[in-house]
Amino acid sequence: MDKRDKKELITGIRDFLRDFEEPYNPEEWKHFQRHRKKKQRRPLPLFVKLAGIAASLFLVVYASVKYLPLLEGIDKTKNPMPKQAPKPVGEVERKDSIRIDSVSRGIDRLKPVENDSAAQIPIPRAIDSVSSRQRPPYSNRIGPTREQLETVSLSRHMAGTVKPSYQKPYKERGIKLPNLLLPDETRMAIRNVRFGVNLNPAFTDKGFAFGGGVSARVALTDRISTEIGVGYSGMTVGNDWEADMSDTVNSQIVGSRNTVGMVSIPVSVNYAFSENFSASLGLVPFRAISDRRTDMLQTNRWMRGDMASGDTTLRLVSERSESRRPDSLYRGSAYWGFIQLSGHIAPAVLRRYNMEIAPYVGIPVGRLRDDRYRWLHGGVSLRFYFQ
Amino acid sequence: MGDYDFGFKQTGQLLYVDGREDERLADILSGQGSLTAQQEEQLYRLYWGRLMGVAKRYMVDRETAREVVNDSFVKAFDRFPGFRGEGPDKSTAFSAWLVRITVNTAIDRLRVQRTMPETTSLDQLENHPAVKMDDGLQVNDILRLLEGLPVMHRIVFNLYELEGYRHDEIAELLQIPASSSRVYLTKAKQGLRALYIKYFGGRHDG
Repeated sequence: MDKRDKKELITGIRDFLRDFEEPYNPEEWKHFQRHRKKKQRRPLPLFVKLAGIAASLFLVVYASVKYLPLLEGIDKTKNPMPKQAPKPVGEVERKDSIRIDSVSRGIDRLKPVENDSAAQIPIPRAIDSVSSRQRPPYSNRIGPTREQLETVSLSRHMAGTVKPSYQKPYKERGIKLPNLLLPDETRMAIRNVRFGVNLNPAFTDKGFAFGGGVSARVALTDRISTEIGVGYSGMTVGNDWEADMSDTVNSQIVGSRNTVGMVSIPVSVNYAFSENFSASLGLVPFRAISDRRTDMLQTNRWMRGDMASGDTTLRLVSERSESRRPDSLYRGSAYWGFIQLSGHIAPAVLRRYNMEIAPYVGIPVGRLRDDRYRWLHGGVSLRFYFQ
Repeated sequence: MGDYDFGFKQTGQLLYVDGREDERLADILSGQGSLTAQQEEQLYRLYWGRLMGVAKRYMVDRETAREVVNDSFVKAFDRFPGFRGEGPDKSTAFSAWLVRITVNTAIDRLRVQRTMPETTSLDQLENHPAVKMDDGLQVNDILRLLEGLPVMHRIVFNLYELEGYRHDEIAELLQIPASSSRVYLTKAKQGLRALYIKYFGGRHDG
């Protein structure tokens, strides 16, 4: 039989595998080319994505500021404006709220217009004085200024038009009124965009999460507003498993944690129930940009007691250690993230500093809903808005 | 020589390269900048078997090992302009560079796959100080032994015994304490011996 010395197993394996090569098959090159073509569809660089997010945010805010007031302007022409002043005299019946027409009517009442030569007729002081008593200061009013009111040329205003009959409102007669409110309304809407910063501590069932971000809140109506922002947070999720105490040989993983750093773009709609309380519903899509995994390892072994103490009973001793390393389980992936329900509380003491606190809960949706880890989380957001 | 029209000679599982191939390889490695498609194919043919041998030590599934090798080549070709082989033997440096890329790619892949706690099939491991290996053992038999090890044990064994990493290097690469690396290595060796006895009934002196 074979008289050669046989190698020790580990040495033999080492020698055997160290120079082991698989025979090459020419088909592999074609396979590689297909594989490479797939791989070459690279994701966009991070700075391109961030630029995209920033541009989107800018567009949303810009569009909100620019177009929402237009919508409001159209609404105003459909709905009669509140009267600027009570009827100064019994026979003057206001049927429209556009001030320039009120002026005309006042003039008309005193001296009917016969031709174009009746330009630059002064406004009766009675109306002016009543109006000035009832109206807020000119600087706060929406509409033409005092100077504009006083120098309007009636003939220019009436030129090319039929003398208005005051029996029907303009709306019913199909006459489009100039949108005199637009410029001031636009300025008002810009003031309605509030930029803010927020800090968002939260808890998952496996750890503490902390994040923060910036946002822009745009008021749509008196009660409803929308908010969009960019944020970063680090969230820890994980799972635990029972150790097999009968295994006294191997290290067992009894728990794992993934701490995921995520860049999110939260979008929400907010409804104000009162000055102090509002509620919001939002979506928090995110992209995981970092992922770190911690494994908790447990080793069981039998240990005999100390001879000196006289207790030599065998005891099962468990030792735990942690192993941390970067992971790519979530890193680089984009998720729909969470549905976020939040209540915004702004008591007077916080309102003084333009702050509010917002308890919230994040409910995972999309892939995260069925993820092996539990992504449900909740916390309290502290929000500060610049005026 | 059949399909191996590139100067290969096949001896058992091993492929050797003749002198002509060395010259071609030296030309490629001495060049600057990116590789041409032809050069890439030459390198792929030349090193695929070696890298597949490395990848199969880490990955249980052959198809996954194949993907690891292809991923490694994609990375290597992309990074080739930055490759600076030190010393006179550039081909050795290049080979070591490719192996290192493949090992890292395989470890990354194992991290992604390792979503559940390891369950080892080594039910009753006994400590066998020394086991002699049967000469008739084939490469598939040895790979089967490696596949029977828990992932971390297998990785540490490969890195230490076959790639020549030190424990502190392994600790840094795997983000584990160096002491854990030593423990994993010891357990991997115990596991291999136990599996060998279980599968092949080898003689053990201990």
